[in-house]
Amino acid sequence: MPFVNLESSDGDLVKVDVDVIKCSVTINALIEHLGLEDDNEVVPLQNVGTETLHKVLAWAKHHKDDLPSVDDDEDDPPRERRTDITTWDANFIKMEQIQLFDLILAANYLDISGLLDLGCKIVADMIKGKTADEIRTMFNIVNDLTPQEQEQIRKENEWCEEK
Amino acid sequence: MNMDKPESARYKITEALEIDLLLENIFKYLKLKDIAICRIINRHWCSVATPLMKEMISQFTLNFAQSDITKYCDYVSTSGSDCVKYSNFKFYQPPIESEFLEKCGEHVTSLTFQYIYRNSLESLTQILTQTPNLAKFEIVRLSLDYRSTPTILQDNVPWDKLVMQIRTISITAFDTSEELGQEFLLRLFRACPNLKEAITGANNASFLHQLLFTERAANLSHLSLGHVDGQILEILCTNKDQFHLKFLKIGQLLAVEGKLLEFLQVQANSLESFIVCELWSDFPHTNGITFPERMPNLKLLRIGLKRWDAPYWEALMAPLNIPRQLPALQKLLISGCGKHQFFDIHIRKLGSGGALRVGIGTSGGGLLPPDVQKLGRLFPNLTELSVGYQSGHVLREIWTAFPGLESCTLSVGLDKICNIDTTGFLKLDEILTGFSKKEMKRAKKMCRDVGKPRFESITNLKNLRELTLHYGPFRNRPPGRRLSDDCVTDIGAFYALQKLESLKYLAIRGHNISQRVVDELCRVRELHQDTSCSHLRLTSHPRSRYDSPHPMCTEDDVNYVRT
Repeated sequence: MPFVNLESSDGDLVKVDVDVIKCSVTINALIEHLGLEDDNEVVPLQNVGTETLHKVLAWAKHHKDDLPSVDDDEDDPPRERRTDITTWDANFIKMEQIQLFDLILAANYLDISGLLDLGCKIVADMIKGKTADEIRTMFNIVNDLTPQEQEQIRKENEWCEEK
Repeated sequence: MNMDKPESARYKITEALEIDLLLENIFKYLKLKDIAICRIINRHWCSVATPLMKEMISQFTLNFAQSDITKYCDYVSTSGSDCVKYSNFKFYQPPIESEFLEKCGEHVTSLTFQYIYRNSLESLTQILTQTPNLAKFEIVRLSLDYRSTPTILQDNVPWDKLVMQIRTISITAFDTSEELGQEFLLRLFRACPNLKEAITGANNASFLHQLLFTERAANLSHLSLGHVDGQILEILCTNKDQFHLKFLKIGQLLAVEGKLLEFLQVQANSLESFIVCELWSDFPHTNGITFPERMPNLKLLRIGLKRWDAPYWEALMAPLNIPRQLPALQKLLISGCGKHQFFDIHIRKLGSGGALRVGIGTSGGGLLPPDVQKLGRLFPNLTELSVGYQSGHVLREIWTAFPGLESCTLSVGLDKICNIDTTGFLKLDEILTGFSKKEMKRAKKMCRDVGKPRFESITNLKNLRELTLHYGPFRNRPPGRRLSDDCVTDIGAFYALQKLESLKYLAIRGHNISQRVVDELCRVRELHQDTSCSHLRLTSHPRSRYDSPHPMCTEDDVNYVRT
């Protein structure tokens, strides 16, 4: 079975089954374009630390036999996104906020849609039902809107908040 | 070093939340209200959330009372020109509010009125003249009397000059004299040259007459009629050449005759969906609904059979050869089969290809085992089955009658009446496993080798991917008292469900399975338990399709098939 060596930003090498990491569009493209046939070839991942890389690989290994995401149900309302998370994924994603964002950034960089969706769902869950102040505090976000701009947005929002 | 970590952590989070694509992906899981809050976090979040919010409010209806209108007008006039504008409005009745029209008329795309009374007619016409982008216009109840006549007929209302972009008109109820209704519809339809979709609940005759008179029928692709009786069929049949429908939905079909067939024959080439929610009566001296020799584009056929048992009955559906008559059919749903009802549906030679999804739904229950056997012979390739409350004997028969079943929804209710024959099966576990009483005793000890089942068990269904078990209504039982007989217990889960080779989805309400056995089931079948769910729900994939109820299981009478 073909393998590929991934080098984390911490300089650690991790040997991975190509079949496992094929969920990453980025690495898939690299393998295809560079023709990494030699087992000694190394793919440097400058944006992914060792700890995160191992997390990504654990997820990829578990989901390696997944079918591509299923959108074939004509009965689905198109706007509503699925928000169910399996037990395994729910346990997997239980981590500190910083690790979660590391993972999301890695999934984004490696272009792994399943993992990215999972991370984004978790962050969306964190946002749901919170006030603006609570969200800013949670993610350490500085509000750069002027009072006038805020007032304007509040006015616009007022109409949908009643529902 | 210790100081560094929180700093870099903060940086990581900030970095992630500055990527537009990531924010968009997160926001997609939020509802409108949360999206609205995300807009006031900071400038960047606002820039990502605003287009999403604008897209979402195109589906969002503002339900307006009179006092809200002034407030909304205030909002629109004090905000800039590119402020978030709402486009769907629902009013109790047309408001007398010219300011609203002046400020908002341009961006109104859908309007719903709960009532149109005589005295609101003038405001209505005013509104229609000032909403040039209106695409969907809906009236729940149109209530006009003779005093409305001058308003409709007076020349200063510019009906004749009115040309609107309306594509969908829906009028649910008419409470109007025929003549007045016709006058109103005549003017309305005349002003809508682009009408594509017409929906009406009752008084279809006036509606159809005016559609035809104004020559709007030819352009229509969707027609939805609440009731269809002999008179309506007559109109449809006489003018059959004027319609070229893709979608025809009939709420209640009260008559059949040959006229329906005549109409369908003309629509045979264009029709893609044909839905009859409910056959309202028996059709004595006919063959029931008959279909044209060939409908090459029909993809969805849904027939709701009558929901109660008539003392006598006649044919409901004429023989149908699906591969020959409906070669493009993707979905066949037959629901509401009750006791004694379906055996004149001689649907023969159903397509054997996997493309056709065939579903049968029976709501009422009360089938008998021979009924199921006959059904099995009529639908040898049935893939979807949904049955209401049924006895254990009938359920047992299903395992053998439909070996190709992929999706099965069962409502189980075992009570004294169903199981008066004590030599039969008593418990749901016995029905699932096929075990005899003696075997059940051994099975209780959960020793692995219990021997061969006495009857076919559910494991006979090698292709079963989805199984939903609801508990039935507890007929003849004091309220609140439940018997454990109709629960799936560890025995059923261990000796039957776990052995379903193709199982990808399992939902059970009212079960009595221990967590240990659930875990084992998940492990063996590689399923995941949805812990957020109040009942037992196992799925194969986080993004699997099984969230919404099967269309046959939804209670909504008129609107339950989306196409």
